[in-house]
Amino acid sequence: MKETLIICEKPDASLHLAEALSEFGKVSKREKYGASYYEIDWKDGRIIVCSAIGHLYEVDVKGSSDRRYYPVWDFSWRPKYQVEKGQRRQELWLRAITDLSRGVDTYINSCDYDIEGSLIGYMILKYACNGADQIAKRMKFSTLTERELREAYSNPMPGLDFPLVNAGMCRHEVDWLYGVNLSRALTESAYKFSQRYSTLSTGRVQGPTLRFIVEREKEIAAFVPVPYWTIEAIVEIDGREMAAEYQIERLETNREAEQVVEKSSRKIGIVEDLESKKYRLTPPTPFDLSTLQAEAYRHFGFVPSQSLGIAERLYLDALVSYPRTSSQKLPPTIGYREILGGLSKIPQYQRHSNTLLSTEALHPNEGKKTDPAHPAIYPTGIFPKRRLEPREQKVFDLIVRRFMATFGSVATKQSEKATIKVDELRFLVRGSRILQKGWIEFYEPYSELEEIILPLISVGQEAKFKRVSAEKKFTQPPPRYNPSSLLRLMEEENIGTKATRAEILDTLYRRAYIKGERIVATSLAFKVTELLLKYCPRVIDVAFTRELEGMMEKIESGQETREHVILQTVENLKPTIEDLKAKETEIGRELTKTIREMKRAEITLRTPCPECGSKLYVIRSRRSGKRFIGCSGMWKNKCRFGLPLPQLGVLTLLEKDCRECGFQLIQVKMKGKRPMISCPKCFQAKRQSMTSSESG
Amino acid sequence: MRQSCRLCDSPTLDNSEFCELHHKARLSLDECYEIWLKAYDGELAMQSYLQEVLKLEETGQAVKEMAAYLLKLQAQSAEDERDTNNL
Repeated sequence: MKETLIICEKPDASLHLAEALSEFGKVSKREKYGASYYEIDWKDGRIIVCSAIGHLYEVDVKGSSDRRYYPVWDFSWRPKYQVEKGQRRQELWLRAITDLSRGVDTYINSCDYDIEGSLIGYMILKYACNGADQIAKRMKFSTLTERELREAYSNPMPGLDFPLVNAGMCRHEVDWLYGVNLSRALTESAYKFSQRYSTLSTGRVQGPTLRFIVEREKEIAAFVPVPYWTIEAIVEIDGREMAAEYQIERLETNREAEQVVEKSSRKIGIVEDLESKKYRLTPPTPFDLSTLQAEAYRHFGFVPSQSLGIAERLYLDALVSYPRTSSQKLPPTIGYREILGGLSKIPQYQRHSNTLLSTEALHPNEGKKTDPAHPAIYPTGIFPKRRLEPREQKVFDLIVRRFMATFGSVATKQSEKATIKVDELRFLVRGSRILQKGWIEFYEPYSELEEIILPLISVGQEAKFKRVSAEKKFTQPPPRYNPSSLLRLMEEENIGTKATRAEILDTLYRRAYIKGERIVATSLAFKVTELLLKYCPRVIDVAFTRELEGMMEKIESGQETREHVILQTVENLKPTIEDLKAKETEIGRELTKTIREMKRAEITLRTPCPECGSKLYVIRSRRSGKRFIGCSGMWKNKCRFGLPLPQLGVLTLLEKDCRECGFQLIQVKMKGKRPMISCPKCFQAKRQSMTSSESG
Repeated sequence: MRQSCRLCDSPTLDNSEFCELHHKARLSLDECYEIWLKAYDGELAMQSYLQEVLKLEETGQAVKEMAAYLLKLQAQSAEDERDTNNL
């Protein structure tokens, strides 16, 4: 009897594959050591569909070594459960796969078709299936729909995609070499100096990304606003009032602005010229991951890692195609009409999909970006089998509407401009209207095109200037990055990959290098960047990172070898790390000082003590272990001021002040619960008044 | 030469009393004074300019620190001058 073992990337994917292959025979769900898998018995043999649970192997130091020791250059791939603590589930999972692989004739890697998926499958086949990587086949698909999975199973690639595997291995190895050595250098330097442990990290992509943020922060910190004036007017034409703008958008002097107001206020102008222009608005291009993340952030405020997580859940439900793609192409082979036919069964998309289905030919407006492994993100047309969560529903709706919009016709817009002459000055009244909605109809909630309809105006008509005012404004500092704009920058600079960028951002937040949605670099970020710039500038040099990225990309196309890239990396990194090690004390001193300052700032309130004016701190009582707000003037002024604080959850001092009493607000976040914002002073006042009314 | 910036603990730039950031802030303040002066037809004293800049929320933190420092210096030198005249 012939046996086939298929390895998927995640348990959900293995279920879809088993269901798709049910036409071959009866599917039975089984379990081994807690790992679920499926068996399909058919006349010629048995198909076993099992899965990984993400990466089961990772890079680690070769042999055993102290986890704090550096530099380390020798590495090997080891099961994750041997490298990280608390990975018992991974251990059992691997044991189950090894057991299932015994006596198998055909092996197939059916993990997601990209670098990570190729690597996950390869590692399992090589190490857990007794070297089956050499004989295994590879399934290639972009959606978890039955049609595509069956097709991929019937026509697998004859061998594994080794260039992708090598590229994946190389990426992990290079990142490990950078990450482990540089992060240990920073952490150890701080530890040796202060004897206190704080995890500090940097890496090949993390360092240059943090540098972008720090550089922007410096620009903002050194920004001086400059005044300018704008003129706003209300004119009346034919009994209708409308807003007009002065022909020069920004006036640089106060005198100029005053003169314009003086010359036009309460005067009668004449419509001197009318101009109208038609614009063509081409449909949007299909979603690649970064544009999806940018749109989801713009419309729903989802951070990139959130959008990716949601899109992956939708993919595992076979509702959308594989989201980790950089393609903006939708090839006809995905079956436009079948997808639209499926979408027409979902009530809210029925009308639009039927409109598209009634057109003779369907041509998506494709973008320039391509991806050798996957098309752009598109809906599969499958009706959701479960009720989607609100956030999933939002991303799903965005993907569906974007997909339909790419097939829409060109929209046309007309802009209108009336020039009004008063004295020798000219003012403009602008309007715009959409002549043909085209694709906008499909993408309506997300297109945000405003219309300003002007009344009929003719040349020579009188325009009465009812109100004219000059407004003093100031130039604005460059905007802070937000998660979406930072990701876009990383993509433009070609650092990191579509799969890892969002994760890098999360790490920067976790390490307290950055905070807030409008990203602010902390003093620790400044210090780490300053030290890296001083002692190893190449590590945070974007050009160098990009160059390395280019070399790794070449491995995918066979133009570069993994071994050569690793050698180059070690060669570049070795002198840097040795230099860092030699300057440990100096680096440790500077880092420790910043960490101490940051920790102190975290517990120092902005609001001074209302009784003696000294600084207030969040203090933990040595006796009771309870935290409270205490006054630093306790010893000096004998000030007894104090406020109680919630004892559970992570406490953060907010930048905002209480509207009632002006005291600094606090936030308490407990796991799995919404953050609670409160004013400690008002809380205390309320508590006291309740106590006194009860006793009264 | 001072080892650390007059306004923070960071090391100074060569030939400057300030660190890189505060030095940059100082240069920006000087450059922008010319623009402010033009905007108000040449009728703006350095002191008023610094006070205005200090009040604006768009002003960068390093610039605010520098403006406050310069104002303090001005006040001190005015006081010194008064003392000298009184002697």
